[in-house]
Amino acid sequence: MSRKHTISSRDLATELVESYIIESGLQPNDRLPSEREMCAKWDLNRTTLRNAIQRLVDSGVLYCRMGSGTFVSPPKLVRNLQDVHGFSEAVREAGRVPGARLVYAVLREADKTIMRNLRVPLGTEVFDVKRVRTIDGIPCSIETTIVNMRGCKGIEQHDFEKESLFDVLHQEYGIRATSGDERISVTTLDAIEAELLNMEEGHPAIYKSGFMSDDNGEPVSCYRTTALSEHVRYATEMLAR
Amino acid sequence: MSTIDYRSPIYLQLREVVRTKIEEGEYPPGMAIPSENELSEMYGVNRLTVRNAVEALVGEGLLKRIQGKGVFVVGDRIERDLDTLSGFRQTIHERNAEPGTKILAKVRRKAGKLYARIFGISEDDDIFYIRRLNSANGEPISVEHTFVPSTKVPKLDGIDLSVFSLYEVYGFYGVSPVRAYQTIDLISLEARDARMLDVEPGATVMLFTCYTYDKDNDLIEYTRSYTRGDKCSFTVHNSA
Repeated sequence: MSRKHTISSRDLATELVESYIIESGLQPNDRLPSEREMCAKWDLNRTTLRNAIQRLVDSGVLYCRMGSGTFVSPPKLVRNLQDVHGFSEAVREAGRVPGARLVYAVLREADKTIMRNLRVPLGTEVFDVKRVRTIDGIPCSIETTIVNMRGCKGIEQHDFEKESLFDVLHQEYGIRATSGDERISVTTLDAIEAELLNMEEGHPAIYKSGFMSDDNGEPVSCYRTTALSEHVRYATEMLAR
Repeated sequence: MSTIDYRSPIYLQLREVVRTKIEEGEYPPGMAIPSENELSEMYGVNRLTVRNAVEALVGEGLLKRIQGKGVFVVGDRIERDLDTLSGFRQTIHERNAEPGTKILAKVRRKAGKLYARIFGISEDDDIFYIRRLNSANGEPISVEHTFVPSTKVPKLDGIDLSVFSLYEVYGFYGVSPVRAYQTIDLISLEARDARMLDVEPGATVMLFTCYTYDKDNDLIEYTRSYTRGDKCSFTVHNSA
């Protein structure tokens, strides 16, 4: 096999920095040694090291603060798409504090899209709730959920800034969403989304939409989520059948 | 094979020679066997005889002829591959897009600290690094960086990945992927990969990181794949 130059010095430098973070036990928000120290330690030139660090900043492993150095990023929240836990539960499991800011919670009539997703007649009353989800107080995603109210009349009485939609459906109404299909793509924040998430307009985000059904295959809800990849990582596991 | 002796037709004798070399691993799966010219010279037989012998084995599915490249040894097939498993399913926006793959690099290298840690092997162990460009109708869709420990697939060096897919090669070596864990992030592309994907440097793409395990729960493949979000989206089916 040929072409020994195909592993660039930048690749190698990136690997060195990445394994150093693990080896030295650096914690989130800990500072990396100075560029000069790292160059000396691994016998790298400044440009190579800077390129490697830039790459790790781009991939969210590190962040820079002007004038004070390079730091280890806090881990992203990993959301396993297969488990049907609610957001709050997943955040708590990661040892962090979930939060929600209500944008609106209204009863409305099903339009054509909702009719298709929830398989209810046009004009059926549905519960539409839009929230900004936070982790340790930092806005991470905008979640809009439309709930089929067939089995959960009165759900709009709950305060979804404080309560988990998932828990209310399950505990109060015995409704459990157990399966679903979703689609993932890339989007950019519009002005409203940018304001809700405290980011700039045009910033890239993950767009996820889908629906959830109960054990009988009856649609429970449909949703769309705009999530910041800086804070949330989606995961899935594939198994041999 | 007691039925073959020195009075048997030459092409049948040669067929058994090649078969034995495949079975004994002298011609390992995924590799090209010697050319017709070489075989004809080696055994002092004419090329038509060589061709007949080889064609017989192609017919049996032991060899695979690739126009302009040669004749390759086909190993055992794996029954299950991850394409048939649940997980992210890529949908290319364009309909009836013709997929293509180009191998940009394939190197044997030392694992080094990071990959030693990832694969649970020692720093001095060899790994293979493969960089591929996937396209649809000639338009770049994703750049894939794949790492495979050489302990799992020792002969990957010599295998032409435009002839056999990585999954086929795993099958040849009795390695079968049974579980994969995949994550999605967004990332801004650096110049080199941006050029490959024909987008502006700094453009945002989807990064898929995939860990593939065999039945012993050993990591057999680690892949980072940078995928253009404007060209495709992904669907996933969930069930508890």
